[in-house]
Amino acid sequence: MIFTSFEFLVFFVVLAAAYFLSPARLGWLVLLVGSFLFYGWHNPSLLPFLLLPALATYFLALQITRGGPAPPGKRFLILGIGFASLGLVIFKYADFIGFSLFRLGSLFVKSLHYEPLNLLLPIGISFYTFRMISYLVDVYRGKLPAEKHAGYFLLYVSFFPQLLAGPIERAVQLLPELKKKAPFDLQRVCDGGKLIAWGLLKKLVIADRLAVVVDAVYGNVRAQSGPMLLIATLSFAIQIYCDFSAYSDMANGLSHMLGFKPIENFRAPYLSTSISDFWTRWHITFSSWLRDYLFLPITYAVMRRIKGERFLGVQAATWGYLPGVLFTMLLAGLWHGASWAMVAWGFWHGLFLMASHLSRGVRKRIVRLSGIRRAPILHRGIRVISTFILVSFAWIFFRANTLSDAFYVISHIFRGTFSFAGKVAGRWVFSTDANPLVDFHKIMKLEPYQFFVLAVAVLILMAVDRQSERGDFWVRLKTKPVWVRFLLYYLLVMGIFLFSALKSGPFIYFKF
Amino acid sequence: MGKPAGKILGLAAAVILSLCTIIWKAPLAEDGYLQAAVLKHQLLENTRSPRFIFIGGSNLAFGLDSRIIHKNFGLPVVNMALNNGLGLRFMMNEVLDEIRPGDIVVVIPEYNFNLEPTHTLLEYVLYFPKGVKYIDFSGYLTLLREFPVTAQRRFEGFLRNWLFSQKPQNLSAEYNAAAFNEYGDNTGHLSQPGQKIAARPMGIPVAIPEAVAALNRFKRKLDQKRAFLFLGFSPIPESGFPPSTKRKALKLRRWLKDKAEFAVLGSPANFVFPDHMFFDTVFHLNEEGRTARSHRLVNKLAPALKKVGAHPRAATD
Repeated sequence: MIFTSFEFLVFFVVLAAAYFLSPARLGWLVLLVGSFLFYGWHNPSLLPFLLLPALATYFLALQITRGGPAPPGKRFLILGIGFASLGLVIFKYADFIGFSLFRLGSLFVKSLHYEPLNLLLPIGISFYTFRMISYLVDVYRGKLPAEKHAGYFLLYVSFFPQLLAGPIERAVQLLPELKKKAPFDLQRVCDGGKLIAWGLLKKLVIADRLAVVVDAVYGNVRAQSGPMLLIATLSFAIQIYCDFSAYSDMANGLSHMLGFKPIENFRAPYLSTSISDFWTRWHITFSSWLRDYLFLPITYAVMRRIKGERFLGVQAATWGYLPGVLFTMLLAGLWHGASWAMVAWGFWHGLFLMASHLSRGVRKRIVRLSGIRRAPILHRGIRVISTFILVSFAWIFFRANTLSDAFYVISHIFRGTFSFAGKVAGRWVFSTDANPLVDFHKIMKLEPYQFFVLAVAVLILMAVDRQSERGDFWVRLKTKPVWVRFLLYYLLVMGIFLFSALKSGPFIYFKF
Repeated sequence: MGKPAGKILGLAAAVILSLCTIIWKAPLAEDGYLQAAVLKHQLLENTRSPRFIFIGGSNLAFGLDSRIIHKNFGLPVVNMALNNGLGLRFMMNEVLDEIRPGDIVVVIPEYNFNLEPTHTLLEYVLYFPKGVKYIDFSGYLTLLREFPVTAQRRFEGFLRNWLFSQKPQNLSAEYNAAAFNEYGDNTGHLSQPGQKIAARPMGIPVAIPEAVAALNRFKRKLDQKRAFLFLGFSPIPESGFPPSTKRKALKLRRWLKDKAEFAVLGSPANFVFPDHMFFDTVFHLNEEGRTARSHRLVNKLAPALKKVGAHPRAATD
């Protein structure tokens, strides 16, 4: 069931009514049954893939608490992580591992043959697996006691707004909230509704419209011109942001309506001034998960092995950082998809972060010598644009169907692009009848109307993101006069009704 | 609770009012395709009985040469077909009041045998407000569901025109109310160059219980009016009729034999035409295809009419 469907609307209204009308001690049960219904709606056979590892995690976390941080507890932790991630490894990576081994083996033995298993990937498995692993580690680290009530724990793992595509909320935050049933509050429902409406606008108006351009180009990259590849790549950067952040907004809005605090998952990521800044703004619950459960443990483990503050003249912290960040980002890539293109996406981000770390001193010197600090807007603009270009470059690997497609895009993206841009710019400057909208629509293979809608929507998105940097946009909006708010909400709802793409695709992150 | 509730209601009212205003006030294209409803209803009211009345989607609007039917049977013809999106139930409702003794009603829907309307019905009503009285309860529910999509289409049309001076698609020669002839056949496409159609296997259902139940009910109402009902089939391009589709078509025909209380004109296989006889989609025939299809209909209608004693001249021809 997807949030943008009519059946979900009916499901949510019925579930919310049952939740608020149920006695306080049974609220969790209503949400749990609702979450199972939500997950198994189209394919009930998926439920065991969620339930079995969740139950194993529940029992092993209790054993960890009994065992303590000493070896008995650690053994249960390792066992628990193994059980929790077993499904993910089998269903998501079996074919990837098998095929990679086959390719490797084919170098030595020509007659090898590989028959793909094509296993059905249970939707949301990457997200609920991470939720279970973080719970086990937090219990082991003593951040929270193992949950004794199986119902609460199952609800934490399967909480329907966050089940399919996050946010990956930690047990330490969500479990206490699940135990306290908040009373119905219409103001909270309105606040949740605003988040949902904003999510719908991003998904239906921007992401789904851009998907038409991106899918057409990336579906057959070898038939495209350089300018088209460039435009599709930049379009995908906006599409994936709108698609994914829309899901997070809607998940937050739905949770908030039911009485749960929204959790920030995106904070104007394309206004980041560096790649490390980007990762504090993009899919925040995922990046903080990677930081706490992968990056920091690896970094500290390496640093502990280095005696003294320096090794070979390099600081111990740098020795720890470099392998930590590269390994973390490679795994981040693999988490997103079982393909070498995804691994390459992670690799590039790891490389960017390493380069950023190593070049910090040089960059500071350049900034000081150039005197650009005296023009802070220009300085920030350069940093924002260069970060966006690097992130968009990495998205090529994320979106391309194969690694070879990604390399094709990179090698052809500027072929003819500059001369084309020159021609278009020349027309705009020297021709009196040139209509910029008409020119761009021709490049994007979109009708002028479609291009106009997208351009306006993206400008609105940028304005809201800019405002969000100064604090929660929706909270700040509450300080505005009532007529301003009413007008904005009215335009938001009308925008959804009047400009949604007539065909809506599934959320991109569902496949992860 | 009072304050937020008031704001929500206020916002909802403003949005609904705006959508309604857009739907009713955004200028309609003159001679829009659906405006042909006005002409068709005039024909239905004014054409003498006994007569042929054809009901269906655009396959009939584009693909019937009523002159051939008229010439062969000597009976006047009213082609009521416009768009499949009106839904079969609405199409039957809109002719029912005007059925007179001896009338021969031929229903030829597209292969989805769609009973329910889509957003097209709301646009249809904008062109032909009297059409409201033919909408039943489930039709109103559909209209409610399609309300935002209709508002979007109307607003898009308005913006396209205002910003880019783009004329709506339905003002092209082939989608134009002025292109319908004195029988209600669309002739706008006859002089237009066609497009190569991309045919996939036609999706033919093997059973259509809901559609046949509705048609059986319609047949009983026609019986009371001493009129006749026949079901025909929409054309299929050869490339969209592989053996698997052929098998489905056969199954459907057998199923209809058991369940239909009305006469069925041949089978889908009888209405397969070469791809070059199609105009722009797998539903719309070009001039050559339209002529061929009309002759095949005559061949199927003649014995069927004889069998039910619908028309003495047909029985003797």
